[in-house]
Amino acid sequence: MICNIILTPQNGRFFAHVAELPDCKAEAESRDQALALVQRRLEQFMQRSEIVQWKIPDLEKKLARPESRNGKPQTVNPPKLVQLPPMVLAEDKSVHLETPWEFAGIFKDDPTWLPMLEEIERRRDRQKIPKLKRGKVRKK
Amino acid sequence: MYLWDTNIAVHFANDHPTVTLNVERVGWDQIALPSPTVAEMWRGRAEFALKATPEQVVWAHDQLWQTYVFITRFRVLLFKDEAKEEFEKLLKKFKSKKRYADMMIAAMALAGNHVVVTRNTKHFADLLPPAQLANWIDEPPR
Repeated sequence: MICNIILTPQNGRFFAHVAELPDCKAEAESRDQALALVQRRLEQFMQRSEIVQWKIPDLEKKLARPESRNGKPQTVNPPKLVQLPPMVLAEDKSVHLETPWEFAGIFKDDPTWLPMLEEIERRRDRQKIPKLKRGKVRKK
Repeated sequence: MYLWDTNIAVHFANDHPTVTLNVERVGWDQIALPSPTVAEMWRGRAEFALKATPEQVVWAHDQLWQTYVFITRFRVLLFKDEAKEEFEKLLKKFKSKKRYADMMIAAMALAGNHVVVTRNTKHFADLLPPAQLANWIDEPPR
């Protein structure tokens, strides 16, 4: 395991502590001294202490299903991830495409499909040649 | 290649028999969607999804997804620099007398020597030579 020593100079002195073990700290006049001291503290700590891991099943449940405001457990469904199929460029002949046959007539029962085409045509009729918009210059 | 105008893509998904016949005749590897067609279909579906009533919203978003998958089954021709050169010539010649998106699609066809497939052949008649224009809905297959 690698632990992180946080070393902070302050008022001409150096303060060091182990990030993972905030009680393991040392203070000295130089950076090297502070590091040496904190290393010794860490070694002492490791010699006299043991690490016990404690599994708390209720806590796990709580973390997975945070309670909503009304006190009832909230059901959290994992989001369904959908892989977006890529669009294929016309010049990319390395990709083999499944033919779109299954899409023949796929929207024929969709009452919005043909009206959408009418709207597309109307918008094409209306589209003027766009001009580059420049930012307004404020008069001083 | 045969570049589908939006009306052809829409009619294919609406099960138009002559579009299907023409696809069988030329083969899928000869067909592509120009990017303006993709953009128009996508805009139409996206707007529907965003403006759907509460009753329609689930369905509208599903249709948006279906349309996306539909598009991914086609080769998509992007509007590139070569098309821009042709586009600028058309703009200079016709100014606002022709529809902007029509000129985009026509420029792409001119740049790559493609055929525009559309139901609106009258809109494209001045933009393209007859050999680069086809109507797969109202005219018999050539």
